[in-house]
Amino acid sequence: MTTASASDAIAADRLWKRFGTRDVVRDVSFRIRPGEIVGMVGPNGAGKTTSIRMVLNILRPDRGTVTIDGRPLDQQAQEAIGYLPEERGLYRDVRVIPMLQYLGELKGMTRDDARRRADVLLDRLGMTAHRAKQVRELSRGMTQLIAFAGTILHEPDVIVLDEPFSGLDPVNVRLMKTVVGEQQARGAATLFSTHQMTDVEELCDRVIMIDQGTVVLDDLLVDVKRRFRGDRLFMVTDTPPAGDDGVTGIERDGGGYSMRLLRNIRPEAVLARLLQRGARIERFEVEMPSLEDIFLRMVRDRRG
Amino acid sequence: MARRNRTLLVARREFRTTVARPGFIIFTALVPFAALLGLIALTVVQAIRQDRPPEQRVVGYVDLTAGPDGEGLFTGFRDQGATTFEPFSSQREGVEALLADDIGVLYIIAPDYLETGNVLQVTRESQGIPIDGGPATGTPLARFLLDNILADIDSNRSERVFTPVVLSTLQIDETGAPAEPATDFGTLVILGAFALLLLTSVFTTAGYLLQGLSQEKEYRIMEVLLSSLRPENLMAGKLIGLGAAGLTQMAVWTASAIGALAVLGTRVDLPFEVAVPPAAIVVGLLYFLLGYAFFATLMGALGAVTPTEREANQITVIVVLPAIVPLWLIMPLLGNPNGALARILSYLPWTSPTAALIRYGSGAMSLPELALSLGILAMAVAIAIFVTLRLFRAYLLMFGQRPSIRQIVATLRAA
Repeated sequence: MTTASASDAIAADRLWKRFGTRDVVRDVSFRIRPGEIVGMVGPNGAGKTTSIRMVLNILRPDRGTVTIDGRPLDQQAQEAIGYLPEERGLYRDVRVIPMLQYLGELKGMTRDDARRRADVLLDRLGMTAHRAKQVRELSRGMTQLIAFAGTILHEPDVIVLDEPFSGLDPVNVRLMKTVVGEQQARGAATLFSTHQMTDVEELCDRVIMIDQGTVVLDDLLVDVKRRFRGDRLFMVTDTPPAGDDGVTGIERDGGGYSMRLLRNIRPEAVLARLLQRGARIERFEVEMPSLEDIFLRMVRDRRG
Repeated sequence: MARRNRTLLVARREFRTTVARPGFIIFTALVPFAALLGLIALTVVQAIRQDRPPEQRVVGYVDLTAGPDGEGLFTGFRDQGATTFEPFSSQREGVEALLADDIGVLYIIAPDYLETGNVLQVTRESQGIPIDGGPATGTPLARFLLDNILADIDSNRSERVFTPVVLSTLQIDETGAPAEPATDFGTLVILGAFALLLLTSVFTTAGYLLQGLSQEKEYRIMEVLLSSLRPENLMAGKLIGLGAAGLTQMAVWTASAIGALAVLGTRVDLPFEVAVPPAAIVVGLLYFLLGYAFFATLMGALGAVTPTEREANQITVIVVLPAIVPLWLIMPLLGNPNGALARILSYLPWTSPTAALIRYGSGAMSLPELALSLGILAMAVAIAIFVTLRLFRAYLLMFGQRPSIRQIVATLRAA
């Protein structure tokens, strides 16, 4: 677990929440720094939504604290957060600009500032032509883009996105990811809850996994993958590897060879030995497990 | 940067969106429109009447009560307003006049009229189906007959036959002294109408509150709102914004109704003065504000625990039905405004906004009673807000499912 710092954009400390007789969140702590994009993953009912709601100050924790930019969750702290819920989140019978103005005002903007910023964002998201429409007239994907515009309208320090790409076509997914990247460059911290592991792999620096109300994984994505990497190698070389190179189960695989590392042999040792033997190596890969594989493996291991 | 007041932001949005709703605009315009239509209709009817002088009608009669001297009972008072009674010496002459359209109808007054009251009405077949039975005392025929019968009696006495009672009332207090004069009929009528409009406005705006909350839950706007403000800001903002919209509606209705009555009073004789004492306006306003706060808060509670707008609308009857009981019972309430039923209804928070107003309008409610009724209502508002806030916090984020009664009770007990 990372340690507390005054420079954390989000600092959740030992959060507990009980509904009825069930502890839905148990001792959850995590921190997100400015400019960091963190994916929050976990099975359904794991406690992700409850944790996020406590960060947003929608729910009050039974125990524990949340700070935003080092401040307790007061009105000013809430204004520093932009939140995109999983679906909809907009009044259907309101036109786009007044809707965004209202969302901006709720975050402390003046009506005029909110309008100016809304125009800029609608242009950035390719939605200018729809600015005078009622939300009910928009497709699901367009509604999602408008809701996203409402989330970042006030240039929040903290952005919380819940399944942001659902309902979007690939072009708009790419657009939204680009804009999320722009927010990161601005210094915004993003907490991103999803079931799409590929999105996490593409967007996030760090991943937090919650299961049964507790944080079971909180690490940099690259370290997680390294930790969970498999024992399989793939290489394209003019010198076929042999058993005394520290590998076994060597098979032809397309234009190369796939094999398994022997116990306690590191991939670097295999590479060094092949180079020693004068092999010309065009490609050398340690097969990394996908985040989804890691997720499934962790859930399976935890539940026996 | 100065922090913006979230409650007022919500209130402003609720007010603006509500008064811009086509349904609200049409509904608000209905009363002034109806008043205007009524005035136009009255003006047209009056203009038609003024242009056309009353038509003089001639009817014939044959008086068979004549004795041996040949003088019958009915010789005078033949002009009765727009009706002239033309005597004929025989039935045959009368019938001829009827057939010649010289008279519209022929009455044959029987020889034993004084004993039996029998009068035969002769009409032409083309005049439609005759209706038998004695004429009411106010008709020209009755007046003609009575005037002749009572010709020898003192005119004051004979007038009392026509108008035996001109009733007025003196109310006395417990000491036997004349009581404070009761509120006049005009105030009662206006307060009764005000009670009806109040209830309509309260439930219109409270219904919008319920509808808004249900939509905010159904379309997941609630999460976005609650990430910017507390449930109490949301509830207070909605109550204030929609209350202001309701007040605007009531102001338009009341002003147009009073204006129409005032104009009406200059054209026709109303049975009451169109003047509402300021105290009645204050009392009406207090019941509107407290009644609205009570019912709207209850609607808010329904909105918090129901998952969809449709389901929320189905159970509003729990709130609405008891509130309209006083309007069903308006006649017994007016008949006995100090009775047990009237008193109970004027203290129950569900019924007091209308029942107490009606009682106040009839002058049956003393100041301490009024204070008690308003006090109970204010307390009920406070309790309703307390309960609804708990339900807001617990269930505003519960999407797609409805908590059980047991869960709701547990939530309130935990609070």
